[in-house]
Amino acid sequence: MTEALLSELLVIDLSRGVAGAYCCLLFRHLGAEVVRADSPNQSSAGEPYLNAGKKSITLDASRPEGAVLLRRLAEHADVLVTDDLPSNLEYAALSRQNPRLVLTRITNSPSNDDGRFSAYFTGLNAFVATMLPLVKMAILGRGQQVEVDGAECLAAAAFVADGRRTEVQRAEGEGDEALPPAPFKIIGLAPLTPAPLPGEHNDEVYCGLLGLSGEELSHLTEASII
Amino acid sequence: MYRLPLAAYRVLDLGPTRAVAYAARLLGDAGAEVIAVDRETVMATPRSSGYRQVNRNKLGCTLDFATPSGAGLLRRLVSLCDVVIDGFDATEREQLGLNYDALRASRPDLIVASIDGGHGRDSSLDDVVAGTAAAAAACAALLHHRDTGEGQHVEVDARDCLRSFVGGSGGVVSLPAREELPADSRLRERRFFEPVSTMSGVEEMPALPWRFSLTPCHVRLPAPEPGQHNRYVFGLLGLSEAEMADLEREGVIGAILE
Repeated sequence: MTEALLSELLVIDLSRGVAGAYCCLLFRHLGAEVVRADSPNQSSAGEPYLNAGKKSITLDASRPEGAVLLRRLAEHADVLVTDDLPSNLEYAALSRQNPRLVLTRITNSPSNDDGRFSAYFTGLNAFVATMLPLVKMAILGRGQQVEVDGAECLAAAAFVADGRRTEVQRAEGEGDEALPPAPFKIIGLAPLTPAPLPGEHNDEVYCGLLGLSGEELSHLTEASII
Repeated sequence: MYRLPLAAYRVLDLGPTRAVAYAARLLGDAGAEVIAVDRETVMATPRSSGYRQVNRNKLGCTLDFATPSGAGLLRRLVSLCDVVIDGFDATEREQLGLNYDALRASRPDLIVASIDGGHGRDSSLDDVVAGTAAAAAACAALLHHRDTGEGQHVEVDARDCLRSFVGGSGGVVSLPAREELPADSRLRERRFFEPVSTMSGVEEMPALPWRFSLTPCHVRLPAPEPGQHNRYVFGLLGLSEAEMADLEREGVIGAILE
């Protein structure tokens, strides 16, 4: 069996923090197609290798035209991961258009000051929590909304791990900028290409997937929506 | 109204590490029927708070699967499970005859999650991270099984896992102070702590940090007393009362409790 495990899955990465980006990277490791939506006005935050293998589009979802595009994208998606869902979008509306959508919202997403562990651990939790409705889909026939709270993830860990402080030794020959390997060995892991430039796949996603014309695309670009 | 996410699945927790117990607990929290197998058929050590945390939402049986008849019972139990989680080292796994191919002989589409390098009595941060990673891999394998009918062997290395989370340069990871958390007003407001009835009264336990809109998960069961569910588990195998009594006398299984 050479085919990637989750190659049929389309995941939209609408996250700003590291936890959401790491959650979506795990989906990418398993072969899902991941489209990362970056804000057109700022460069992609965090560690660039977290976006390895993803496709990148630019999208200002806080503006009405941008929200329309995001809703259209969510119609095609299996999973949407966000830590900052724009107020003009909500699960009820998204799921009316696409009942199979799993919307994962990360609340209290760890900031850079909280350290990489907190963010990665929350991202791993978000990944498991997103897999469960996908497994359940066969029986339920529909998706659901999942909320994963960063502070609760760490609190849950504190009740299980003995000792508050853990020293972790430097890994041999590994730099900080290395792509973190998938934390498990499983058949169907996909090799990852380097992280895309923001907006590198605008044409492919907007015109190819959503069927926008070249004219519409340049109009949206001029208006800084994408 | 809707059943738990993993309500259709049965998981076997073979231990012996806390990483394995935590992985199995997460699947149990999500609704799988988890059977934890304790190899000590004679109850010895008192159960710590950490033990109770990582074994909630499970059924417990005592079975010495190092004995030939115990190994036979374990094979029959494996054939009734969708997922087996184990943390044996390579030597022990061979000695017990519990490598992937041997397990799969009991059930061809079995999913086996093996965690290398967890700890026994105490849980360290590696156990928590590796347990979560193993639960993730098991869910991915369940998704694949649902689509193809195929099982597989997934593996997690506890040390590598934590190291990759901290980054190449290493460092110190601090968790919140456990004893201060029950007073945390935000966690209280979010009902992060759930009451669960135990033999010694009602205890509060932290909930799963994942909230599902259609299939909410809760703390349903406290950690089992050793062998608490022997009658149910060995009943699944079709053993008669007389057979159970013989096995109990031979020390292959622990006491059959009422």
